[in-house]
Amino acid sequence: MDGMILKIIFILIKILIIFGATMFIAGWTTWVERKIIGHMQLRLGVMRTGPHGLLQPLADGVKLFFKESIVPEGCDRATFELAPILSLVPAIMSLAIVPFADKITIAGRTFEPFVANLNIGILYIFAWSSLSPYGLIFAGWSSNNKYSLLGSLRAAALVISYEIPFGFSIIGVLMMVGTMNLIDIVHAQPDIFHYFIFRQPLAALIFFISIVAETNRCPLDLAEAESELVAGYFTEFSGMRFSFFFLAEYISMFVIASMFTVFFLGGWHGPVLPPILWFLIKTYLIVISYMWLRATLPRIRYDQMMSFCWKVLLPLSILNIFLTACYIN
Amino acid sequence: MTFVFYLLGFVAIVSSICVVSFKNPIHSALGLVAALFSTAGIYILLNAEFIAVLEVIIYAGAIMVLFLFVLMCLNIRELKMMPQFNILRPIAIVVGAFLLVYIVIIIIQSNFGNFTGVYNEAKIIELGGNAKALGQVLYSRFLLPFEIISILLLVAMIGAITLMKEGLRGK
Repeated sequence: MDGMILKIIFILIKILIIFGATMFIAGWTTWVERKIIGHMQLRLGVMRTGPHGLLQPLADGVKLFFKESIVPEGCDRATFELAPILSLVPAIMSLAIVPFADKITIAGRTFEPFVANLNIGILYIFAWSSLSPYGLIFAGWSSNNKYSLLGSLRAAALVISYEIPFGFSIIGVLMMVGTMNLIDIVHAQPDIFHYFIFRQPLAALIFFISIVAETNRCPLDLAEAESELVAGYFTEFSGMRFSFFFLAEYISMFVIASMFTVFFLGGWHGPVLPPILWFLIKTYLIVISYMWLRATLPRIRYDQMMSFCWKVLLPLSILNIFLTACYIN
Repeated sequence: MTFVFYLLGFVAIVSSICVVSFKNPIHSALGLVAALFSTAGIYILLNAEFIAVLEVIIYAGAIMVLFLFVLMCLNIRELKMMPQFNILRPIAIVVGAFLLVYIVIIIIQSNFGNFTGVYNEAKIIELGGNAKALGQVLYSRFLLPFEIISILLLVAMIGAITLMKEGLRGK
C-alpha cells in the first residue's frame, strides 16, 4: 500500500513539473513569437518591459488577470463560462504522454520522464485533439454575436476536415513501425538516417500542413481571421477567459509540434547534448517554423482551404499509405 | 475501482437524462458529449482502452461536432419553446419498451456480470494489446461483415452526395 501511495505522489510531482514547465514555455513563446515576427518585418517587437521586452509575458498576465471579465448581455451564460475551460483541458491533457526522454536508471531505480506510457499513444493524442473544437464551438455560439458564430462554424468544419489527413498521414509511419506506442516509435529512429522525415517525406509534409490547421494558426487560422471576423470565436471574451484561449492555443501548438518531433524527427535522439534538451530543441524548431509561416504567408480563402484539404491532402495521404504498403511488401 | 465505476455510471445516467430533458438542443448535445465521455471512462476501467479512445474520436470528436455544426447552422435557439415528441410519442414508447426488454434479456443471459468470453486479460496481453487483438479478429474471422459494413457506409456517403446534387439542380 505504501508503495502505491509513493507512486501516486511521484506521478503528481511529475505532473506538477511538466505542467509548470509548459505554462512557462507557453508564456514565453508569446514573447518569442512577437520578437521573431517583429524582426522578420524589420521591427524590433516588444522592447519596453525588461531587457528586450523579456518581462512582457508577465506584464500581459498581470494585465489580463486584473481586467474585468465581461459577460455580454443575451449570451448563454453556462456555455459561455464553460467554453474557455473546454478549450484548455484537451490541450493540457495531451501533455500526459509527450515522451520527453527515454527511461533513465539512476542507482537501480528507473525514472520515466513522462507521465504515462500508453500502448495506444497516438490515438490518445487524436482523441484529445478531436475534442478541441468544442471549446471554439461553444465560445462562438454562446456569445450571441454573428462574427463569433461564423468563426466557430469555420472552426468546426475546418477541424473535422483536417483531422482526416492528420490521421491518415500517420498511418504510413505506423505501418513501418508496427506499433502505436510513442516510445517505440522514437526507438525506431536511432540516428538521422532513420528519421521518418526522410523515410516518409510525403507524410511529414501532410502532417505539417494539417497541424497548422488543427491548431488554428496563420495562414490557416480562418476561425479567428481578424480582417473578416473581428477576432472570430473569442470576440466577446476578455480578461482571464480570453487568456485561457490564448494559453490553449500555445500549449496545443507545443504538444502537436512535439508529436511531429516524435514521428518524424527522431524524438530525443541526438549527439552530445542530453536527450531531453534535444527533444525540446527539435520541438521548438517546429514551433518557430509555425511563426515563420505566420510572418511570411497571407491568409488563405476559406473555400480554397476546404477544397485543398479534400481534393489534395486527402488523396495524397491515401497515396502515401498505398506506397508504404508496396514498399513494406 | 468500484467507486470510479459508480461515479462514471452516475454521470452517464444523469447526463443522458439531461440530453432528453433540456429544452435547448445545444445543451442537450453537451449532455450527450458528457455521456459519451463517461462511457469511454467505463471502457478504460474494463481495460478496453482502444474502444474507449475510438469512442471519443468517432462519437465525441467527429459525429457530435457535426451535430453541433448543423444545430448552429439552423440557429435553433428561437425554436426552443416548441413541444417535443408530439407525434412520435406512441412510436417512441413502443421502441423504448422493446429496447428495455431486450437489454433486460441480455443482462439476464449474461449471468449478471459473471460472463467471461474467450478474450480475457491474459489472452489480450499475449496477443500484444487491445488494438492488435481487435485488428487480427476483425481482418480474419469477421472480414466479410467488416467489408459489408464499409460498403454500407460508402453507399450512405454516395447517397448524401446524390441528394445534394439534386438540390443544386433544382436551383
